[in-house]
Amino acid sequence: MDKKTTRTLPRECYLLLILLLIGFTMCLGNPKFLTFGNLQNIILNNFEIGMICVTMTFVILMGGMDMSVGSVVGLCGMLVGVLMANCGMHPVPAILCALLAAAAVGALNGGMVIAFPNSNPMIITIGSMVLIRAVCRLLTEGWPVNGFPLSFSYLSYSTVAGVNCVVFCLFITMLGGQWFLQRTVMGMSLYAIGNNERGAYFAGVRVRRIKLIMYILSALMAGLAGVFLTSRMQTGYPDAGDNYHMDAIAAIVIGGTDIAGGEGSMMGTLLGFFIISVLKNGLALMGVSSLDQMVFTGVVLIFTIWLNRWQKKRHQQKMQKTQMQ
Amino acid sequence: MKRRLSRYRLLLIQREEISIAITLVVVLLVFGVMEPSFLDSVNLVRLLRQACITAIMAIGIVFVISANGMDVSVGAILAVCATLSAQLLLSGLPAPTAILVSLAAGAFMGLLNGLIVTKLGIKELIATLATSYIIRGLLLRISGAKWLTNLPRSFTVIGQGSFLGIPIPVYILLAVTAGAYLLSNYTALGKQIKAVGGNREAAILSGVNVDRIKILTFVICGFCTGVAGVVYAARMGSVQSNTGIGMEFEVISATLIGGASFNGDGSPVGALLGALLLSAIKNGLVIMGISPFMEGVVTGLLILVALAVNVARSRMENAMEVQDG
Amino acid sequence: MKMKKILAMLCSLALTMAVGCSVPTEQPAAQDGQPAQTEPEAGQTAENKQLVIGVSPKMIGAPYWEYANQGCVEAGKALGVKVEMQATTTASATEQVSIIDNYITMGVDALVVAANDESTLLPALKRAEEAGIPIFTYDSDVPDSARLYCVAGTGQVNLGEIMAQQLVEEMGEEGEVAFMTGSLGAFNHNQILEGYRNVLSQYPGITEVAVVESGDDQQKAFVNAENLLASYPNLKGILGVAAGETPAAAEAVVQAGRSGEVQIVGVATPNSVKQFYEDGTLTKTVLWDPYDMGYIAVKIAVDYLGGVEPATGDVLIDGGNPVTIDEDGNLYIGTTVFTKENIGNYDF
Repeated sequence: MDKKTTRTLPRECYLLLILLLIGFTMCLGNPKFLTFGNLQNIILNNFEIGMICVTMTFVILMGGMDMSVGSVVGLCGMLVGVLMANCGMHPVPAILCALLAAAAVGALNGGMVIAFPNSNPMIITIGSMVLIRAVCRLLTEGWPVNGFPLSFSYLSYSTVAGVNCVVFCLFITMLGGQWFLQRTVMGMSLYAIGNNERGAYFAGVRVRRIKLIMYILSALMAGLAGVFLTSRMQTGYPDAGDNYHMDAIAAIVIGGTDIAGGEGSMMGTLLGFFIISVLKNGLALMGVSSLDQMVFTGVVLIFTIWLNRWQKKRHQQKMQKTQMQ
Repeated sequence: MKRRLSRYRLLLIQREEISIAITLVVVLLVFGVMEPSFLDSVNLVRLLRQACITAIMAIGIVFVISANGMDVSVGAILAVCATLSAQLLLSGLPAPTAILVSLAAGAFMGLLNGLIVTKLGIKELIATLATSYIIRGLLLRISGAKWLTNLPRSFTVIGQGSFLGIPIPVYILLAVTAGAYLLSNYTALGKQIKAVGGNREAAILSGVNVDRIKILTFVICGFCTGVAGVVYAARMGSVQSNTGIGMEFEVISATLIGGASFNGDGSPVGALLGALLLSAIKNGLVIMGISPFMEGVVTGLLILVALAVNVARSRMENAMEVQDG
Repeated sequence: MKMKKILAMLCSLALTMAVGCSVPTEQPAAQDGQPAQTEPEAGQTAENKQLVIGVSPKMIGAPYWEYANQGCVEAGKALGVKVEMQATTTASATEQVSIIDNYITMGVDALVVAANDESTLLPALKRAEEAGIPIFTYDSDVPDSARLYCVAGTGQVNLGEIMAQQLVEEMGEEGEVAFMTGSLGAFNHNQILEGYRNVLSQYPGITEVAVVESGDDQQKAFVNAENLLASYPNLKGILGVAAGETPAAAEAVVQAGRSGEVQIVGVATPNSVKQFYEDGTLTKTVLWDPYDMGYIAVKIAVDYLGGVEPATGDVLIDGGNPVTIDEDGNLYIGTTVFTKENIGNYDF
């Protein structure tokens, strides 16, 4: 081991510091911030975005983009609603149908990305985003759906040891995502594809297959989030999930993932997600008006991303220094 | 004989505007056949007038997109410029001054976007997302979210009046299109913008100052959005600070349908045609009594079709180059 | 890799610390009411702590809501209580749930809510009920919740019937009519629609051709109105359900040059429609004073915490009308019909 190896703190440390700093400030602003109930609320209210962040990280790491996740949330929320409330279907097959629809959307997205390799996936998924959102509205001519059986609400309100199941769900998903990225061949190949797609292809990575799988996964997760959201709200909305894709992207980018792909980590995404959620919640608890909250969020976004870049540059400079020695 | 044919094919393929113009004509004819009142002059004029604001913004944003950028803050900038012009008018400033100040404000916000992207090194999607939060929050905070009504007739005539039977916003639109067309095709700047989008490394090597170009694209976009904001205030006769939410994706959709891509494709005329096509569809659906929610379905499909056409075009172009070469 | 492990440990440590040093309560749903509401005097508790009222309007940004929100804030100042006011710029029910949950966490002494969607807010209001927080609604009710009172101008179905009757008087007993509503999920908007249909179904010559929704967005409402005028050239009447619809409809009718052909009746703030009275586009609109509504909503909450409940005939705001209360807890503050003659007297 070379004694002079560069030892800069990983990016995630800076993010953790920022998170702790924000958390500390919020505590000072309103001590009730640190109550169990509130911390759980933070996760409950942002659960769907958190779940989407995980699979979106995969997609972005490999150099893609999925703008249609918000619409898929709405689609599956509505489907589950229409099937259960209007058609009287039992919750379980209704949820499965909705997820199937989500998977179909993901397959379409992935298929088009593969079929048009030189086009920006953002364009493709903007197209499907607009399309699916319209389908959401067409399902009931814009009317929200309610009249769910009680059993459906257990999905988001059941608890284990006093903690809502949803909290466990999120952590398991995020840790699972981390494990996938670090410990499986497919996960690690995402970095390869994102960095140098042709190189990865020639190195034997089955790029097209992986891309398809990731887009399907992304849509599936969005569909699951949509089901959870409907269960929590007890209502199916055509406009549900409206801005989720941007919220997820924001969290992921704060976490240090490069939007062009090839670099990033699930830990970063987790921290980015919490930074945004904690900020929103803490400011609200302090009675900061929603308008100022918007301004704050924008400024924090810019600052944290700039910090990421600065840290990256420093790291690179140090690496160069070591190499020259 | 063969030569002449191939020249026409060349024209068809190289000028993306031709294919979308053909689509527009086809759509108009189809709708006209299905519902004759669609082609009524009153309706066509209405169609044009309804397209103006989106079209002007689309022409502005096409510069950003073809330089491989993105701008989701246009809705917020629209809101600011519309509110600013209304506020200044109500404070007694003469219309020309109010308009100039609003245009300057739009350009200035574009400049801010450009600086954040280039100097702070934050990617466009996130940077403009953050600025959209900040701009909206500040706007609501400063303007107090009041509804500004009773704008002077001398001003609203810009949005509601006609000259020789054609609405004044259409003249403004034509002027903007002409200006953008000249800029894009007959100036060095226009070519440089395309170069940055098409092949960034080559552009740098040819001595193009990429940062400067990016900033300029954002300024152009902000300026055009300012124009749209003024027309908007004039057309509605009153301004609510809440305006423009969600307009971003409508404008981007119009541009994408018009053939723009992140690789340097895209022209102001294409964006104009894309916006006209969108307006024709919206209008046509209403006239034919089809559910307005179908609009999203058609828009989404069109984006994907435009993408496919783009791909097919570039493939044919490449093939033909090989042939002639 | 080692760094990552340390990082992971640090994260879990931070989280455990956070949970550990939190106040050892159970879930928010089971939060027993902290002793805040004992022996209160005007605006204060026995321990001289200022009361906090959590107000959740449908949105901010629209003029109707700006006036209502002003009323709430002014009530807070006049009564010496702290008013928390949070809302988004879009009429989002999902966000409102978060806001209510935050208020529960903050431990507000009372909740005053205008619901964007009644079924969505029901679970959140249940949580508030379990936390021991008294609930009051205004403008848009959640009747199935444990809310004590709902403050509104008048019964919404009744309001719809009055407006529909007005429209029939102006447009005649035959023709096509369209409804422009704010939100398809809002209880009060749907009640008004019910009122419309109750009356219009009595006239076989009148057909309802469309119901369009704007999401409480002025721009969308305007485009909706334009589209209605375009797709129904024989349209004779438009009924505006929410305060943003009527001015948008009027503007569209004026711009289409069909003033006088298409009759418009609806809910609207006087300032937003004054100019349409002059050329006759509008002849009658209805509203209650949103400022009064917001003010009174906060006032009855504060009074309730002080042990005083409102009764029919009370005058709850200076210069206001005596209120009427029905057996479901609906508190009506009275409406005004605005005509060309009296609209100049109002400034909201």
